[in-house]
Order: sequence, then structure tokens, then C-alpha cells
Amino acid sequence: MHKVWISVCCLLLSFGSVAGERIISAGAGVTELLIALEKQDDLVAVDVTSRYPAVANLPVVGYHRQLSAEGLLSLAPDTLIGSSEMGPQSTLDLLSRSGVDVMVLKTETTTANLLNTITLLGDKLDRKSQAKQLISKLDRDIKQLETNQQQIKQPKKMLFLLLNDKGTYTAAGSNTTAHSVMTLAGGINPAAELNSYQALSAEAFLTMAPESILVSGRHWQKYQDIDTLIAAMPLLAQTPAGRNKAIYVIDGSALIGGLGLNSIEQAKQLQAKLYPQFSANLKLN
Amino acid sequence: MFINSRWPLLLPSFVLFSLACMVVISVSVGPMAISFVDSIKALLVDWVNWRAPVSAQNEIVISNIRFPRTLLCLSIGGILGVTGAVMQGVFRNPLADPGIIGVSSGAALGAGLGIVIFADTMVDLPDWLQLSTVSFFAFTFALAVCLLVYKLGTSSQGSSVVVMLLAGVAISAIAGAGMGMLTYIADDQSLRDLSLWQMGSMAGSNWISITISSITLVFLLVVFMSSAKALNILLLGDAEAVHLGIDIVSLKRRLIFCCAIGLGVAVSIAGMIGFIGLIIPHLVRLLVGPNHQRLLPLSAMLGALLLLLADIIARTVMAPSEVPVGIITALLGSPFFIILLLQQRSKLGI
Repeated sequence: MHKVWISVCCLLLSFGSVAGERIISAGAGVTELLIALEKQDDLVAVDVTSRYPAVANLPVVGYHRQLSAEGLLSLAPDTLIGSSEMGPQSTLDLLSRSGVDVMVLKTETTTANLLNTITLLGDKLDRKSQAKQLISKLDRDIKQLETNQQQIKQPKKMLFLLLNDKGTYTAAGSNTTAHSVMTLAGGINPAAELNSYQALSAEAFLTMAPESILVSGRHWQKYQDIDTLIAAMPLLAQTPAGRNKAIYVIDGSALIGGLGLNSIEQAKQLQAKLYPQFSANLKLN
Repeated sequence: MFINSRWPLLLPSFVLFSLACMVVISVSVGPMAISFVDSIKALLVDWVNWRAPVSAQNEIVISNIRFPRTLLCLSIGGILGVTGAVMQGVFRNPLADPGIIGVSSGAALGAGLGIVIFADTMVDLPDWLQLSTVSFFAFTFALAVCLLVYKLGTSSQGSSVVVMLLAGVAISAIAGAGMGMLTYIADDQSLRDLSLWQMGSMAGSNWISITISSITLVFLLVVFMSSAKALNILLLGDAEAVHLGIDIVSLKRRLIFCCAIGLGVAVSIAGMIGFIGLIIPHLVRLLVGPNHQRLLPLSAMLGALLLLLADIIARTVMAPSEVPVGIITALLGSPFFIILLLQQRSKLGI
């Protein structure tokens, strides 16, 4: 195993001399942005949460809060880019001392932070024009989403549920990417007063009376259709969402690591499904 | 089976030699491809101020990552091995491990509180202070649990080891409930931190933790070795030991207390690392018999050897990422132990 890695490293090193910078990305959101800025050829490793086809063949450096200093150094990186959750600090310090440029980006669930992060990355990695293009496209999308929101007369109550085998009703409160996506799409999150993901009691869930339910695609695979889901979570049948079978599926990877590019895309698709009158002006991919 | 009355030092010197080899391997092996000669040179640069032609990066890897980790493995492994041996002796119970009086679950609860509750309030503090807060909580709780167990086990008639053991089980259950509650209220980040902490890691090695754990190991060895003969007599039974003039109450109190300190230090620095304290003393007993004068130092040495080996594997097997070392110690130790047990069983006909 060890020898395999050494040979992989040597191979990558030989490419490195041609490609220029060697970047390690620790964080799903960061990797997504680097790919969008056409930097994936300079990536030499990613963390375990970065699951994108473009980086599927790269070495994985483990969980981004438990980075191993020597493991990272063995990849001979020039730059390590990650979210503010990246750690531990002792590893980051050792990397800086060994001459690796460590860049920490804030992870938040706001669109302003996403745009700001793109600008920072564009400046840092000499991808200013790509960053500008990306920002103007995102800006357009976000403005359109917000304009549409203002025209909605009766916004729908929408709850994001984490589905699991235990039959508990765990909802996304504020400070979650799911909350931001629902809000951008023009839904109202009845669990907004809760912070982060929390398990709801049956009564609290019924009181919220969601008109639509949002679930992650990964969880949805198990159920595939609404009746199976209602059989597993019988309380759903007692809500307006269950009665109208208003259940929407979102790509789960859009919810990991703060608000990212895919989150905006998912918000657009969600808005088009919730309020079909807007689907014309949303320029869906 | 390995006792050789003509050369009593044969096995200890062999273990010591393996330990020395393992230290050299630990310093020269890792995800970074640094040649053996370069690793030794890099160490020398640091320790005898010898200006050798070693790249600055290699020097940082060797002297700031691998060498401190190696030293920490030695001291933590030693503490876990020797406290395990003493616990099994004091409780005269082959299933006793250092955690049996509830110390490790207490430490885990303390660390959990540090990670989950105080993680939010301390984000502004520097990272090393955050890390040592977790260690501080873990150690305080380990000691508090030990005192509590001792108080529960002591009455006007003296202290009862059985009551202490049962109190330890009960307190482990309470700590387990506390951990469950913390897991329930923790957010995604702290949940992951919590579960990783419970699997143990040697990645947090720095000179402060090495100093603390080495001093603890030396202190424990001195205390335990001076009680080794008394521990041997204790194997005959409490009543027999009393008749032979051993003050068993104060002996047990002293030993249990020292074990708790040792375990508190080990858990707070490296997290939960199971199986060393349980398996190593058995292994040594199978090799040299139950004499504590040989059992204790050999348990410390073999504990260090196993932890060192486990850490080398943890660092390299999934490089560039790292596997929690507690998983490796369990995976390495248990099958080996089962094989030894089966061998002994056929030999003894039980």
C-alpha cells in the first residue's frame, strides 16, 4: 500500500512540474468552486466530503477536521485550501512552516459569502476572468430568484426532513444550507426558529403543518415513491404535504459544506417546481 | 514458557531490542518518502546540532511529526500496559482493565463536555488552548470519578474492592447516559469530533504532552515496582495477605489511585485506546508467569511496542489520511490474543 502511494506521488510529482501549482482542497464547497474555476487539473488531493466526478480519481486526505500533517506533506502541495472548519490547527501550522500556503475560507449559508469566496479564490489562483463570469451568472440567478419571490402571493410552508430508519422527524432549522435553499426558492421554513438540524416531536411536526416536504436524494433512493415514504413515516399523512403528496427531492450533495454553486442551482429547480409560473424565467440547466 | 532460569534477562532484553528497532522504524516510516539515512540525519540535526544536508521539510517531518509521536506512543503505551497489569492484580480479575472502575468513561464524558458544550464558547480562543481544554476536562472527570468510586467503596470498616468495582460499573452507566445526551444535542461538527476522539489518536503529540506522560510513566513504574512483592502476595487472597503483614487497604488505595492518575493522563492526551490495558498483561503473564516484578516492566514495554506498531500502521495504511489508532490496537491485539488463548487452552486441557 505504502509503495503504491509513493509511486502515485512520484507520478503526480512528474506531472506537477508541467502543471504548475499543486493544490489540496479540504472541503466540498471549496472543491466545487475550484472545479468551476477550471482549477481541477492543479488539484492533487481532496478531502473525504468532496465527491465530484471530476476529482473521483484523486487521493483522499481524510476528514477535513482531522488532517494528517505528514500525509498532506507527502503530496508535496504548494497550497492547501479549505473551509474555516479545516483542522487541527497544529497540522495547519506545521504545513505553513514547511512552506505550504494555507488558505482558509469562511463557510456560511449566505449568498453574499459565496460570491465573496469566489472573488477571493479568483484573485488568489489567477482565475479573475472565470471568477467574474461565475459571479455575474450567480448574481443574475440570485436576483431572478429574489424577484420571483416578491411576486409570490402565498408562499408555501416547506420543511426539510432527514429521513432515517428510526422514524424520527429531524428537520433543518436556520443556519443550515437546506434552510437557505428553501428560502431562496421562495418557501417558508416553519422550523426556522430552531438552530441547525433537530429532531421534532410528533406534535411539533403536526403543528408546523408543512405544505410541502423536501428530502435529500440519497435518502429518497430507499423509498422511491411517496406512498412508501408515508407508510414509513405515518405522521406525514396528517400534514397538507402528505395529503397533496407534495414531496420534493433535492440533490443531497448541494447541502454539504455551506451554500455552494449546486445549492443555487437546486434552489432554482425547486422554485420552478413549487411555483411553475416562474419556470420560464429561471434558465434552468 | 519463556522463562529461562539460566538467563532471566533474555526475554526483557529481547523486548527492549524490539522496542528500539520499532522506534527506529517509527521514525523512518511514514507517508512521506524519506530515506532511512535522511531520517537519522534529520534527527541528529535537531539533537546534536550537526549540520547535515537535509531538506528543511524533511527535518520538520522527522523532528516535529514523527519523533514526538514516537515518544508519545512509548509513554502512553507504557502507561496503558502497566496500569492494566496492576488493575488485574488488585482486582484479582483477569477481565479487569484500567477502565473497569469507570475512569475511562468518566474521562470520555469530560472530553465530550469539552467538545460539545464548550466548543461554541471557545471558538475565539487559540486552537492549542481549545485542545488542552478537552484534555483538562477529561483529566478532571477521570480523577473525580476515581474519588467518587473510592468514596462509595469505603466505609468505616475499610474499603471494599467489590463495592468499588460495582460502583465503577454504575458510574460508567451514568457517564454513558451523559455521553448519549451530549451526542443527542451535539451538532454535526462536534458529533464527528466526539466519535473520532473516542477512537483515539496520537496526532496531538507535542512536547508538553510528552513531558507529562513520560513523568507519569516513570512515577507509576516507581510506585508499582515498589509494591510488586505486595501485589504477588495479594494473589494469594486478601486474608492471606493480611496474615502475611500487608496493609491491603492502603496498598489497594494507593495502587487504584495511581492507576486512575495514569489513565486520566493517557486518555486526556490520546483519547480512548482500548485493548492494550486488557490484552498486554495477559500476554506477558502467558510469557513469564504471574510474578509482578517481571510482569509490570514487561507490560509497560510490550504496551509501548503494540501502540507504536499500531500507530505506524494508522499513519501509513490509508495515507494521506490517517486511521484512528484505537481501531488498529483492537484489530491487532484481539486476534493475536485469541490465538494465544487457544494455544494455552489445548496445553492446559481446559
